[in-house]
Amino acid sequence: MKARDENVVNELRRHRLLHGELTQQALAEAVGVSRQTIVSIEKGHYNPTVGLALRLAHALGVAVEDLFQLARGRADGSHR
Amino acid sequence: MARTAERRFPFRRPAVATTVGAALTAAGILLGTLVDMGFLVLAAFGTFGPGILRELGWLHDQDEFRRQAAWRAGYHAYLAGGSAAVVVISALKRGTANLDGLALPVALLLSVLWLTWLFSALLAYWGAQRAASTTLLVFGTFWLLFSVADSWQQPLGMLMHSLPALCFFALAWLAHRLPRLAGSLLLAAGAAAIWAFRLDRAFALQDLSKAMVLVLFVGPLVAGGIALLRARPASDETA
Repeated sequence: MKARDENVVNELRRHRLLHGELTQQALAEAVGVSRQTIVSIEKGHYNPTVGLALRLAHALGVAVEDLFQLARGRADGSHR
Repeated sequence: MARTAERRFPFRRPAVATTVGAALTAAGILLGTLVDMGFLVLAAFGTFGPGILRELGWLHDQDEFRRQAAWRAGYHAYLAGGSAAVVVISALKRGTANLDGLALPVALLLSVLWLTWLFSALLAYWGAQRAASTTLLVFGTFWLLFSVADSWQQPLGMLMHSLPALCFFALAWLAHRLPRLAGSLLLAAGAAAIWAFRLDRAFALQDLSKAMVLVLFVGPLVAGGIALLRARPASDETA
């Protein structure tokens, strides 16, 4: 959709696999989106809304900050 | 097991609204061409209807990623369609466009709008490599069908006419393996088509039918080429 957002580090794929090798389809159904949405988030093509980020974190049993973090050096509010 | 199945069968059934919209569009174009141009209204309903219903809040068949992809594609279509409209209006006002009626310039603008929207949406859903390779497969298939229909009584002629289709299929394959090379070849193919079909006249809108060929034929090739040249490595693109 747009260039990868270099400011956000995305750990969704790692946590999905840690969560009993959950498939993209199963996670998509758990949070009520399409598998393509999960694929795009994992590839860094799409940053989810706060609502979806919270649902993903809830489904995987982790905090939102465990899934998405500001990249090192970006936490000070600097922009590209 | 489930993950293997996901990779082996990535196709998902399209939404009902998308299927109905596509059927209405196809029926509208077919009936408009064969029976009466008034049937084109059906194509308008099919193309724009689902989006209007979604914006009115009466249709909820897309998640947030798809909605955002559709909005972004709409913005791209606005930029491309607006630019094309200014060029066409300017040419019409200056009298440089060879105009027989309003149908061709309107069709030209609609083509720019629709193709830009479609390619942008495909890029969002699939990434550059799959969007470009699917576009090339569609191009190749249409070229092959037209070649067979046009010269099926002359096997040698049919074979010669079909050769460009094989080039499209080869480029579709290459788009997955070597996207940079495929992108460069697509841009070269676009330039070659401009030269071969004398489409340079289209840029000045001296011949609007050539401008239409430029949009429908060269446009997707160039868009695919640019997308592939900007693509990240293949490991990032595959779902």
